[in-house]
Amino acid sequence: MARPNPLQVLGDDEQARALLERRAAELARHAEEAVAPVLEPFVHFHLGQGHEYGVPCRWVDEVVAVPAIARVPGAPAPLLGVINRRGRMLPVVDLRLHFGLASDAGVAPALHDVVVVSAGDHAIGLRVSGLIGMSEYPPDALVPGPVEPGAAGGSQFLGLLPQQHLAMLDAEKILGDLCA
Amino acid sequence: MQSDSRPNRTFSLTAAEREERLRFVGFGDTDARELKDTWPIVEPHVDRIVDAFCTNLSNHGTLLDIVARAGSSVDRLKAKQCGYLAEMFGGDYGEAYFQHRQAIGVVHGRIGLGPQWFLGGYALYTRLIVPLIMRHHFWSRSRAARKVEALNKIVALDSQLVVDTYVHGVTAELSGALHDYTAFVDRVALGHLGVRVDLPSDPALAHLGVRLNEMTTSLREMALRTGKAGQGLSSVVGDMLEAVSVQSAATSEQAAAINETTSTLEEIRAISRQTQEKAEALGATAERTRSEGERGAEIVARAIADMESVRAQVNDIADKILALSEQTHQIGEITATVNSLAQQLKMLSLNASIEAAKAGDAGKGFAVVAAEVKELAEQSQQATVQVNAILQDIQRATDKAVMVTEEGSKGVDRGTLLIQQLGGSMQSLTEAIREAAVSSQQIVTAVRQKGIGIDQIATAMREINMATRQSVESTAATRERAERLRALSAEMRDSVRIYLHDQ
Repeated sequence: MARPNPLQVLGDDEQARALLERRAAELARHAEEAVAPVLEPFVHFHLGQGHEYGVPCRWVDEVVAVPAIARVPGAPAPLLGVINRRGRMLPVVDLRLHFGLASDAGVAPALHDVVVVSAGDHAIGLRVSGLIGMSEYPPDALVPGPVEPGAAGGSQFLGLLPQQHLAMLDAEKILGDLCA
Repeated sequence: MQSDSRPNRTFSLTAAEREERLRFVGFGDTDARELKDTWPIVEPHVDRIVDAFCTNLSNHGTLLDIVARAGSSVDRLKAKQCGYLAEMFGGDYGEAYFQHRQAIGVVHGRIGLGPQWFLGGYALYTRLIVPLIMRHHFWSRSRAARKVEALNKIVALDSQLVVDTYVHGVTAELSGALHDYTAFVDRVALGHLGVRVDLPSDPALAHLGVRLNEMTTSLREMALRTGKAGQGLSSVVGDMLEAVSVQSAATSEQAAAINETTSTLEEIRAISRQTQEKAEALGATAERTRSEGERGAEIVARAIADMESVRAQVNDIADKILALSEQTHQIGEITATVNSLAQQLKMLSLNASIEAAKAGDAGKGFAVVAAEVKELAEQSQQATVQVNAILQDIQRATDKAVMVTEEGSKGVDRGTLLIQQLGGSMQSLTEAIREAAVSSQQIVTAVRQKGIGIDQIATAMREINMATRQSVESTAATRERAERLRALSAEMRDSVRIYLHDQ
């Protein structure tokens, strides 16, 4: 084969190579097993300490790390501002403020993690405290969460995954609320 | 003063003496007859002869004064002369004649009429009487000659007697006065200074008496003064003896003290000799110390040079550590960049995973690659974390090293300063040691001189000792002399005391 193995960059470390190969094998096996039950991929992140959330990948355009968010005069508190996304303006909402939690923007790191979600013609950036990664869940494992007060058009959550202690967000609903 | 023992003016002649005198002038019975025969020739002219005598007498004032002083007169003198002439030619020249003639001599002596006058009288009588005889026997020259011869003989006898008596009287008076004076002087000699001699009539003797009295007065005063002086002398000698005693005691003490001083001086001399030896040893030690000190100074100079090089090295180390610190910083920046890249890579892998998930089964292989990339990104992130930790450790270590180096540099500075001060001190010490060496040399010289000086002092002390001994001896001699002087003064007072017992 003419193309070199990308793992070649790791050098001749046998241990690392063995580990990677084992992981690759596991992942491959996982994929084979996932065929039987339908698993929904989601982006896993947290808001503040200990509150983990997820957004199904079907609504996620991408995740970005932006150094600055331009503030918009007169905008409501949850709207942090706008960012330039490949030449188009994208509004960014602080999800913590949106959920009525205290903002941690004051102690934010140099880069803001933003999950870009879209539904229909609308796209919006959700600023989160930290991205954890991508994961999958079985949709039948979802249990309904408590109905939050003040949610007029129905719940913004798809449900809860009790085993992982996370709440799965309904991005379409959130977009609808914000863009209404 | 008159004394019973005083001899009479008159003196008596025995018959044999009378006979001898007559025989000596050749006066015999013939002469006596011749004179008796002459009286008738002379008698008629007696008044004239006596007048002539008196006239001659009155020509000499002195004689008249004598007559007047004797309580007599010219008339009485005339009567006497008449009697005298009659007796001369009386023919009897026995004891009575001699006595009368001696009486005349006594009177003459009493009234102070000297032989020059009455012998002159005889000459006058002879001159007047001889012509009478010559004229009477003008024709018989032999008879005249016999008479003149007899006259001459009796005149010679008379004058002899008178002169004899006069001389005897004068002698008697003199011997009387002499007797008085001798007695007086004897009394004075016995210490009776209060007595005074009676003055005799004779002016010369009286003068002598006055002088004797004056002398006695003077002697008395002198005796008084001598007595007082003797007393004073006694007390002075007593004082002197006391003083000499005190001086003697003081001199003895002084001698003892000088003896002690001499022995002490000997000790000092011994000590001084020891001191000299010690000083010489000190000098040698000082010389050794000096060379040691100079070597010490060299060592200090070398130490300063070494310290300088240490300082240079420390500065070098500090520079290198600073450079290392900077490089560490740069590495930190690089790791930050790597971290950021890993972050971006992670984000990128996440997006790839999302895209792969959206692609469904077609994206599954891509998802595996994306996961691998994410894994790598995480690993590199972890590696950067480790590198950062190591870098922080290095940073801390270098910071500490910088601080330590700075401290070390400061320490080296302090050390250099100290060594420089030590060098200065060493310099001063060397100087001091050099001075000490010079001083010790001077001390050696001085001690040697002192030794010589002490020897001289010792010699002088010995001389003083000798002189003191002599002084003691001479004090003893003085004391002895003072004792003798006291004895002498006592003796003198005793000798004067006999003159004072009737004061």
